[in-house]
Amino acid sequence: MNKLIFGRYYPGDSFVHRLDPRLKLILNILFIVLIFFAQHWPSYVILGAVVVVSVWASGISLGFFLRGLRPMLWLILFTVGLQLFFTSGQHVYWQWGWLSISREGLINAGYIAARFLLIIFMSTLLTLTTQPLEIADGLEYLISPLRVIKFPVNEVALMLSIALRFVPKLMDETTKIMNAQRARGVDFNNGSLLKRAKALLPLLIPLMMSSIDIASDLTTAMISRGYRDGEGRTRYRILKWQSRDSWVLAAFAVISTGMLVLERMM
Amino acid sequence: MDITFKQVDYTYQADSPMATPGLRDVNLHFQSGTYNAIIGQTGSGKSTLLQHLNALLIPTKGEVVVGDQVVTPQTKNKELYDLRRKVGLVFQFPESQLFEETVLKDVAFAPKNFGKTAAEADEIARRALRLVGIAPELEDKMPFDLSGGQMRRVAIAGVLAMEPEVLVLDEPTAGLDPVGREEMMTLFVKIQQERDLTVILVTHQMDDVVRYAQQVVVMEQGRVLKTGQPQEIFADIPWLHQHNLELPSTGRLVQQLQQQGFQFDQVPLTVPDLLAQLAPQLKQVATHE
Repeated sequence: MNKLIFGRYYPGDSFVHRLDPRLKLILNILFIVLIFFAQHWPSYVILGAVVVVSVWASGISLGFFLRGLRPMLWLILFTVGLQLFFTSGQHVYWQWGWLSISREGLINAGYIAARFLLIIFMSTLLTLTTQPLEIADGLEYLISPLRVIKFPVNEVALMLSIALRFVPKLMDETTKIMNAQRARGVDFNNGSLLKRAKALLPLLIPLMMSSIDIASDLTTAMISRGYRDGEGRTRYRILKWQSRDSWVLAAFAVISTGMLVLERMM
Repeated sequence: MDITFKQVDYTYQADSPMATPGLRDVNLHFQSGTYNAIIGQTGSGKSTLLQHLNALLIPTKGEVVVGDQVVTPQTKNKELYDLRRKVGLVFQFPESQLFEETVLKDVAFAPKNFGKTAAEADEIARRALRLVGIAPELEDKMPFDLSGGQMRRVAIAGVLAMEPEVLVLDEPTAGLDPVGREEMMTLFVKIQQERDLTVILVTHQMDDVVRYAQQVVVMEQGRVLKTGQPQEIFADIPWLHQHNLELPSTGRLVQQLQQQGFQFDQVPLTVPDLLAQLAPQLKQVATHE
């Protein structure tokens, strides 16, 4: 659990760290959309270059990145494997029962792998360089137009920021309870599937109970500090769009248009 | 069981840019059957040290010897089952580890895990519950229906039911009322003497340290700063201030008395000691006037 870096924050003060979280969120979404337009390898080279430059600008070493994503490798291999063996095509290179490797399968699998990697890299970069609260603020801003259709933007944003705030706290609590139960002879890592599932009970029940306790304490504390609901509140943290954010957005627009044009010509 | 730390280092998230030191070059010896206290500011590595005692954490360097079991960085998890049974660990706010439907089942949980039959485990659990002062009527209640203090007792009973040879207590009385604290601390001493346990207590209550401990370990920033008898540790008041450690309440009173002109050749740490040194001086004052 500790090895995976996806979803964690890496403290720093690089160019990427200082970008507006709204920009980073939008770019991430646009990047993912863009990936699905890429049908030819030059596009992947361009997208790959974008990722490498972004990682470089974030000041995080590429080695750390690769090591942190190693646990994801199995997921990627699994998907790629499925694509590879189960895509039927014209040029069959190898066949065994209903497993076959065809030219189309090979190409498809290559694309899937590239897409997977690019998406994981970009979204990991987002969480590594953006504090959870910034992400929550950015999301709140981005979904605020939904107010028109009576979507409870404030409530969702509040829930999101509380949830994010309590992730590390609940992680600590989990470790603590796990240790306490291990000290009482629970073995979380060995035994059959059923035995392991059973070993989770002494962890899950206390965790639930303590979540309920935390929730009721937190609500009392919020009400006593004058919280009524999200309407009509002022904000303490205010996001500021800087000129560098505009530049990055412009650069991204140029690159993506370039890529789309290239795709059309091929 | 004797416990020895030999040049133990522990690093959290080792081999990553987030690596943070937990313990640095810790050398310690806890003698079998003694009452030991570990003090130090928050974040000084006390809890990290405790988790080495039953190998919840395994040193990144050096070795920990518990009884005849040697724990080194290469030790595998499977070899530690026996160690876990011999070292009972009461964590901070242990009531958060309760999960069974009834109090009795929860206390019987550990002995069952360590190979006792259901009937034996229930019997041991009943004894442990009596020991911590939980009445038989409460045995079939849900743990979550109990009061905070009772839940704490049940959780502690859950650890005592393992019948450990070493009892490790991480601030066992935090958040309890004065009566509850007194009862718990007396209970631990009683059990220690009856079963000849090695007790290792982490606490911020210096009064408890001077009252019960035979050896005190002072920690700072993951290092052992000083070890010794309470008398040696609390003798040097400027040193204590320098390391932000509190004096026991008798020590604070002694300081005020010294300012009033009373003399003490050795800082008395317990109330009887204080009285013994104070009485002759008071008599002297009385005869002078």
